[in-house]
Amino acid sequence: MLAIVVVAGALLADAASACTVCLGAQTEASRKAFVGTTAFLTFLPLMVVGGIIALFVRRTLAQEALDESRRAGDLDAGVESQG
Amino acid sequence: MAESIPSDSPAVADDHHGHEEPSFWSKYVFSTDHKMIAMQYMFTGMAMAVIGGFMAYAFRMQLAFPGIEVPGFGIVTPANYNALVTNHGAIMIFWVAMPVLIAAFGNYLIPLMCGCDDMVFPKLNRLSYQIFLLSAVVLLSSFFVEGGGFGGAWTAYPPLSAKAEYSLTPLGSSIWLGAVALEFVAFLLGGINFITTAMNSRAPGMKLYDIPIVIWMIVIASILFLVSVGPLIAGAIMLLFDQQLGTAFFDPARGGDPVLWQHLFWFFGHPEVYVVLLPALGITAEIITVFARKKLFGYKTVLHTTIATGVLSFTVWAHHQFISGVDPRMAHVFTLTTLLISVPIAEMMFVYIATLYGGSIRLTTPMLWGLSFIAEFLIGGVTGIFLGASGADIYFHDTYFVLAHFHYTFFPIAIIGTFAGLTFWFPKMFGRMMNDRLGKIHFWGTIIPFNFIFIPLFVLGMGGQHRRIFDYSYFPELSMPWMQDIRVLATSSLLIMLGFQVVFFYNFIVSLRSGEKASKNPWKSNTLEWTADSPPPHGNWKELPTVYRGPYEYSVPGRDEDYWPQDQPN
Amino acid sequence: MEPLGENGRSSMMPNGLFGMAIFIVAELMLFAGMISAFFIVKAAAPSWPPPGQPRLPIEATALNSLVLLASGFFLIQAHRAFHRGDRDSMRRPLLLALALGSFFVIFQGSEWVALLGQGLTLTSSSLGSFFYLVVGVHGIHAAAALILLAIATVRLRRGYLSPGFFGAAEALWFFVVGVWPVLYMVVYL
Ligand code: HEM
Ligand SMILES: [Cu+2]
Repeated sequence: MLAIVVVAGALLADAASACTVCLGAQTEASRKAFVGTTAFLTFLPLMVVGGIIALFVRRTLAQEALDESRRAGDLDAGVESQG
Repeated sequence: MAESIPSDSPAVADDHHGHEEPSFWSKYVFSTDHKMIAMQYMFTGMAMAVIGGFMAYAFRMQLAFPGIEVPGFGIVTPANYNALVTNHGAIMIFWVAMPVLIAAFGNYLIPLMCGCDDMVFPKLNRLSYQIFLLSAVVLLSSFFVEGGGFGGAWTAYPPLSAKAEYSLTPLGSSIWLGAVALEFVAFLLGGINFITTAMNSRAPGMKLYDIPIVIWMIVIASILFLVSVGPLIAGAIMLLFDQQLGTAFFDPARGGDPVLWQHLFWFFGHPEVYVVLLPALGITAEIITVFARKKLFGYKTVLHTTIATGVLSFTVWAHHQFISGVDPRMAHVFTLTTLLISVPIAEMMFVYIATLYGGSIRLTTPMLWGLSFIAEFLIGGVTGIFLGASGADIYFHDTYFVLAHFHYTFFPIAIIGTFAGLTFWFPKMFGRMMNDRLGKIHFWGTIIPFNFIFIPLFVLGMGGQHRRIFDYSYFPELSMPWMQDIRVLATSSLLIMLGFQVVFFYNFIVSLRSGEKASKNPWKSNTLEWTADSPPPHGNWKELPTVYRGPYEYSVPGRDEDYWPQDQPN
Repeated sequence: MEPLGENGRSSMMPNGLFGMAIFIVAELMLFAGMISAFFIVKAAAPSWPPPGQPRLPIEATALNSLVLLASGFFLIQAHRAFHRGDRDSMRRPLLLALALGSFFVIFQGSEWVALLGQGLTLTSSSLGSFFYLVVGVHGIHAAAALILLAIATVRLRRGYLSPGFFGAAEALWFFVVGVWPVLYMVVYL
């Protein structure tokens, strides 16, 4: 829903010449290039880092669980040898 | 790097801590000990803060009393003014906030709080500081070359920065750029170290959710820095080529595009503000839990909120370009994301306030700094929302409103955050307590004048006062008597604030020499650094600690003591 | 999986590899920045490639790219052998990877010389500026990675190549190999 509003709002707007010097020189192609590279630069790090972090957290949590179970195993063993 | 990587140095006490007395050079200058490197960063950062503060003094005097001979500086010429403003900004962000908050506290706290004897790449760490020191020297040298220091603002927008005919600093601008690039290399190396140590080398038993928040914040800040800095380095190389080799990357007359620089700069620039914000937030979290004797309200909430902030910080940068002719369709999206990013920040503030609620609060000096961080930063965050609305920003952009906004964010971060951390960890760092009374005098003497500097500047900004103007008397509508009075008020408050810093330095030196001896854990805190001696020896612990629980177990019902150190089995 | 990683510490992978992985992410963004800049300048240009500039050697570079990819392929073999613990059969693919990689860099260098002769210089047009910037930065990375691989070869021979060092060196080389096709498509095509 929010996404639709964002996209709709974004498309409604058109070139308002806030700065005649900059915008006057710009073509539609170059404005598209700005929008495209903005998206590229925004999402590339999020995807790369996100992927690495997801992998990392999964591995760490698995290992923590493993450690935990080993430690619990040690405890059990201790109890057994006592009893 | 090739040298240090193979020394897959396990962060565990081993034989390289031989115990013969090291020489002065190997102990203080070429040490690879993380604590010594932290101190080197800290003192270099403080020295740079003094220089940056002096610059502010000089140009604020010029603004309040145009044309006077500033005591200690002399007449401020327009070129001086530009160079002072530019380098004040650059120094405070890149040579004060970054080295002190990330490098000094990161270096000091990460191994101590994670229970390691050192960073995983100690030599890389030393190299990082050496490059940083070099960058500071290079920066300062730019003032003494022909044409003087760079004066194109800390954002270095071309074409002003790209062409010597415009900037009139043929050498200064390139030296400035080179210094910034060197500084980035230093933090790149540092960041690699921080992340690897905290993620890969923690004490046995320390799970991800047992890591103190300040460590998480420094790690996430390092990730943000490392990921965002690439495009700016690309831009800096291109700008350097434009300046020195005659390329035209940013020259519209020859097929380049000046807005491209803004694109690359702010892609880094906005995440950068969170890079310095997060460590300060983390320091505050440690302090308020200790001095409210309460568990941090929602550890996981804070952590996940921080990650959300990190993600969002990559999606807002074009809010600095609303009037640079960016596509208005893009401006819409960035308005929305900018409003969105204030949500996690606000949430974090609420979490901190909820942590305080019902605690048994002790108003020590570090706690005062921590509380004032929350209060002052809120003002900065709220005014950011006005600026984030692209419609309102067309009016506010490049006025003193923006300037006051970011000083209400940066000052709490760089100054309040640093003093909070320094007064809190001083006993650990130097083995002596700091004088609390002098600390409080310094606190009030800093906080009150600070507000009297920048609230007036908000008013001037709303009155339309533009930034980066040398002498307002050339603009009749900006030099009405009430405006000039406000400028004098701001400048006199600055003088008072700078004066009170003497109290700090006095207290620092006297406490260092003859303060009361600090015990291992004077604040009765839970985290691991307080289980080492004060100050910790080389190698930190004789036997490295094991962790049994999270860092914020204060006032747990059913225990005699109101704290529960992480390394105690029960 | 070891219960607690290196020396009783909760580590996920060798420190050297971990540090290099972080460095590579930063470098990836450096290239992303340059690619973005390239697209923006290209889109604003009235015609592309700029008039009066020599044509880039698309075919020769395509072949050279294959050499680079082959080098990456041999490094994968070395990687497999290393992790089987079979250090003897690792030497040959490692040396091949190193040799092909060096060939790539030298060939790129000779292309530069030819192009400079034909009038494509750093300042002759935005194409020239970006060409030398992007390809040059990639070349510097390639050279650095090759030096690391060479050190790894020496250490292998002397018998003390650690997983951390080899992991770091090969990660950087895989990165150099991996971004090249993208850069080729962006800059040459
Ligand atoms: C809720 C959070 C924030 C929001 C919504 C926000 C929003 C904004 C906006 C929209 C601008 C552009 C104004 C203009 O140039 O016209 C701006 C400028 C600025 N902000 Fe923030 N901001 C926030 C937090 C921060 C923080 C945490 C810092 C610093 C640590 C910071 C530092 C700056 C700086 C340095 C500038 C001015 C840059 C310049 O033009 O020189 N902001 N902010
Ligand atoms: Cu911003």
